[in-house]
Amino acid sequence: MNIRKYFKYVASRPEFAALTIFIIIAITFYGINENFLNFRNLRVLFTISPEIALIAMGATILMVSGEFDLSVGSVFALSGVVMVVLTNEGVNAHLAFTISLLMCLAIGFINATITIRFGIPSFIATLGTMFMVRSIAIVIVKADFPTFPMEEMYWLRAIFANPIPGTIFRMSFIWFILITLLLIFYLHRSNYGNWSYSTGANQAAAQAMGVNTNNVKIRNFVLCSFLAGLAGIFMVLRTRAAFPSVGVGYELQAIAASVIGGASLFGGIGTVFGALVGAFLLKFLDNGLVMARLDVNWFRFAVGTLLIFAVISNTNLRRIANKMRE
Amino acid sequence: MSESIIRCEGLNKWYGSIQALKDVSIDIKKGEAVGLVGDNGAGKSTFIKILSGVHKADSGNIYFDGNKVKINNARDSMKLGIETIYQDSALAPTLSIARNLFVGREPLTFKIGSLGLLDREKMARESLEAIKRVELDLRSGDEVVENLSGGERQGVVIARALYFRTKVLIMDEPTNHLSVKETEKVLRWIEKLKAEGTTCIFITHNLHHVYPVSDRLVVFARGEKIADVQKKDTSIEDLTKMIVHD
Repeated sequence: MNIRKYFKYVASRPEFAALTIFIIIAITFYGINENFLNFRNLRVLFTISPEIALIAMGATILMVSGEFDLSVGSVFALSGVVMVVLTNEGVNAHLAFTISLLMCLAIGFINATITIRFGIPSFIATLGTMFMVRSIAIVIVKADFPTFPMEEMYWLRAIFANPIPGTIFRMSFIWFILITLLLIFYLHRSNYGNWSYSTGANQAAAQAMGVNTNNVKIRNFVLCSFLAGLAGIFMVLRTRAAFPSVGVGYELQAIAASVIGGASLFGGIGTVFGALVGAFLLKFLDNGLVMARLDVNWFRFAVGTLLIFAVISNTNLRRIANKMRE
Repeated sequence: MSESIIRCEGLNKWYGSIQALKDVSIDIKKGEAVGLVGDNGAGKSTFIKILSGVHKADSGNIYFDGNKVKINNARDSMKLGIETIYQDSALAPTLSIARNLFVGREPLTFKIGSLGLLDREKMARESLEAIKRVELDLRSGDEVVENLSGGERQGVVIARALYFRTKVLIMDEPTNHLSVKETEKVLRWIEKLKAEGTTCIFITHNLHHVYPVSDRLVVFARGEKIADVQKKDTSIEDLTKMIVHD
């Protein structure tokens, strides 16, 4: 009876399946090359994974409420570019940082407005803004890439990017943990989260119960865009370079991470923790292939396989769990 | 004669050039169970949507509990104590019973603005109590709604209405797609709601389903109310003739 209950619990929570795969992958790559989990490489892994995880968590929350955002990769690039270019133009770095994030909020709001006001699929609306935002990032930079204003960015780097001495973490990791906790509160413990789930699962029912589903979606679009922009800023502060071409394909990686972590494309299902595990899984896989001296071009193949496998197993596990009535 | 809970006067509703509701007046008493019957497109759904705040009437007045009211959206309707259950669309299938029960009215332990922390303990406790009241054979409010049968889902919906002491419960085809046994159960729950003083309004085109629990039947045709009779003064045969022959 207890084993049954335990199995039902695990089967109905796909993030545990993702976590299991994650552990298997980590152990396997460690078996192939011990250096995979050495200090230096762990530092790399815990630097790059949170950036995609921030985007994936935003994407999952938006997916839970029944919408997509394909513009996150472009927003990821634009936020850093705007911050650096503005600073180079003489704007105070902290102000430039703030303006850049406000701009991300605005992009999220525009995505929401186009989707809701005109009743078109967010898939299309954000595919449009994906191109537009990327274009803006490239135009702003023009031909020559902006030099990184080291001096002006001193404090921002200290707050958001510098390595924490003696650990594998950078400052961005602390922010990442903090944000993750806030997002868990938002999606899983708050009334806003309950409205997000009900909006994605059955919009008509949510409306009939008095939930303002438009507001729910606007909020989540804005949140998703904000997180993508913040991740972009983290990356620029870390690498000390703002390229308008970064983040291409991140929108699909974010969706892949969400789905591997158990989110449903139909809305109403998904967890913050699942997105986090999915994102870390992708980055560990990517890095592990390099460390194993395999051709990295297999990365996409591995992600594709994993994605299909995850969706099939999630669907089936859910079905099995559903049949196990207590 | 008891007091009226909802009184409508001269409701008109146009969709473009089509008049969906023609000068409909209706007076529903407290604790009454009213069946709205009529063929597809007769206007019964439009009437319900006006009461639940989905549509607004172009003209006419609505009185609730004796006071003139304006129902502009679903929230206004719910605030008055009117709850509407549409076919298959009353619940979020991927959420637990507990979460469904409290959607839009979550108990919170604290809040900042409108954002609050769910009181999950209360949700678990009260949802279990709520489903026990409708004698659903479920051990916890954690069960996901998509695992429930059609009848059990209606049970959850009715449990919600009982829990929030809904004054008026509007049900759109409450027994559609249900087995005979489940239909019996739903009709028993409706009796329970009536016993607790909830006014029930059903829309249906299956007269046989609502006839047993209705006190009164209102027949719609082409946007007009063509009959409004106490059950004791009519029969299924008479009503069927009205619906079919009009």
